Amino acid sequence: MDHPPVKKLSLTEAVIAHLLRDSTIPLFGLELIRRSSSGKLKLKKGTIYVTLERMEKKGLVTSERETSPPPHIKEGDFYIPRRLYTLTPRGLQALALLEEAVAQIPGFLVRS
Amino acid sequence: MGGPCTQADARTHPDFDNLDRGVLFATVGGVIFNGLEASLPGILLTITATILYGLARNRIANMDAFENMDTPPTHLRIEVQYFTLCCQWFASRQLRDGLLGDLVDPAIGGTPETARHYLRETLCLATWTRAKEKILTLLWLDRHL
Repeated sequence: MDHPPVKKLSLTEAVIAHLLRDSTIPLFGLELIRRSSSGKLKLKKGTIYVTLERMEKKGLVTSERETSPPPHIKEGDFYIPRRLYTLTPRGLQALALLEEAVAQIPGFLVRS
Repeated sequence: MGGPCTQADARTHPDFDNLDRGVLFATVGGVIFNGLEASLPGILLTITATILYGLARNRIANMDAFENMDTPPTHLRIEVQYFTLCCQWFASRQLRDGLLGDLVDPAIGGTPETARHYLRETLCLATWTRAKEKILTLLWLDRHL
């Protein structure tokens, strides 16, 4: 699919892109919410899947279904494969552009 | 000119965004003019027509996506058909899969009560977020999402 030129990321998209870039493994929605809870900007359960869907349409992330259940799932337990998300090169580029723009903001404006 | 346009392409074609935008502006205009006439039924009818259009539009866009679906086990006592229908009209396949996948977490899918509460609450929040996102996008304000 052809995507338009890389656009600026929204705040929620930036948090998701940042978490995905810092992770060595693909992450699912709930895990992204958990990992964001230690930061200043927390992801919410009502927005995470909507934002991930939008990011996938923009070509910023890709997703695939989990191939094996997590360790706490035993044989015969309920299990629906989760969708795991990975940042694409386009997503990485958008995040790098955003970080570049933020780095140009004078320090006294960024400090709270 | 591009190649032949399939039915699936047509549902996600950018021209549909222009159609949606036209409907949104017509609604805003309708609400303003009915407001000037102090016609509450006119305002309500305009808004109702737009909501019905939006729901039908989303349902049509989702038509092919809801096939080959996983279903949660019966012990969680989730009305999957009802939940799937809500997702088809108000949300998307991705949201349905995401929320049902979250039931794997013991804190969410541990008991039928927590599972149903999570699905109900999150679907409502996500539906509201999607509607807000759609309106902002149609008004070229998507950078504020």
